[in-house]
Amino acid sequence: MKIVPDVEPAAEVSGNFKVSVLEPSIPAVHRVENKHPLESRLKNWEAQQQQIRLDSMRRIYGLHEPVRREMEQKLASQSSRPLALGGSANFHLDILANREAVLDETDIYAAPIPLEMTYQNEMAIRYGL
Amino acid sequence: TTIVGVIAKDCIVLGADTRATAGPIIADKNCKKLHLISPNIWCAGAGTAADTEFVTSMISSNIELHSLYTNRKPRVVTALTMLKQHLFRYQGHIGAYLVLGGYDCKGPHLFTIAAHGSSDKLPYVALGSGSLAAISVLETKYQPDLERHEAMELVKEAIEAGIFNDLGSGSNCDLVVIDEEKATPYRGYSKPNERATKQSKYTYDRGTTAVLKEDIYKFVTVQDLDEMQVDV
Repeated sequence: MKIVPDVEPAAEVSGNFKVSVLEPSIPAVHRVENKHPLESRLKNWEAQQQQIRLDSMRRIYGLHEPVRREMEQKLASQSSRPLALGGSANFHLDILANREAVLDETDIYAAPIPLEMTYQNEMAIRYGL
Repeated sequence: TTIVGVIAKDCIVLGADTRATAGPIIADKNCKKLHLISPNIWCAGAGTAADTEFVTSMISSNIELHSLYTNRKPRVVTALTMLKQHLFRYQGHIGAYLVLGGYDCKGPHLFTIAAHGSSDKLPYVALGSGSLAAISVLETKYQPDLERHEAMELVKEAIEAGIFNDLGSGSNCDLVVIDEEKATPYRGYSKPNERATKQSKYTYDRGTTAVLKEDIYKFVTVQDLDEMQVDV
């Protein structure tokens, strides 16, 4: 069981890694073509925690428990509430994830709200067009 | 920074100095390092000032939501768990070193939390650059079941050891005493470094410097146009 998500390795690293006795120098990384390692950790954190919870539920209660919960989550995520009404992105999902009394940055940087309530705007945001 | 916490007979005493530094510069001579998490839970912060400030205020909001949700007075362990889980997630990039103390339904509690998310539960604690000076005072003079005023004086002495022996700490000593009923903050409980009055006045009489030239400029120039064209 893995508690902490994997850190995505830097895609491309350039620098001087030569280690010599005659020319002692600290190997230096000049450029890392990637974001901060913390970014992938934070991005995958909640998913990993959810995986652990589902995994322990499977061991304790049997397969039906995680299956049922994932099914509930899938159903709740197919919300038909118009995004233009604003508010919580999905209150039902928050309840299922036991987060309805928690406030953090994901509540502030929530899904974008369309300026005008039209079918096109709604679909564009929902399916990331 | 020097921050200290002590469990006394039926209360918790937290203390802090009031110096904020930015490298070799004293950024603030009288800053607040004691943060309220809930009326019965307080937190003293060392490390990155902004991180201690905002991590405590965020947990304060979540503790309030949690206590409204559960209809109970918040417990210190709840704040501890929220803080350490948040800090662990950020792998120490949030540089908050905290002394968490409070009084809840299970009595007085005192914890320290390091930036990577580890925590200790001890009867007396000290954190920050002046912690070595402070803990030596506590190691010498602490005893269990101290009276309220004894604990306050002990914390004051520990903080002052930091103020006088550590360059990263200075100015005044703030305290907060939390007991079963309420928390009492003492801002500037002791002020051992009061600024001395200036020896002479540095204000000069009008006309001390001779006026060589006097000229008044018009800063606003108004230009009139022949016709004003206004679209309606």
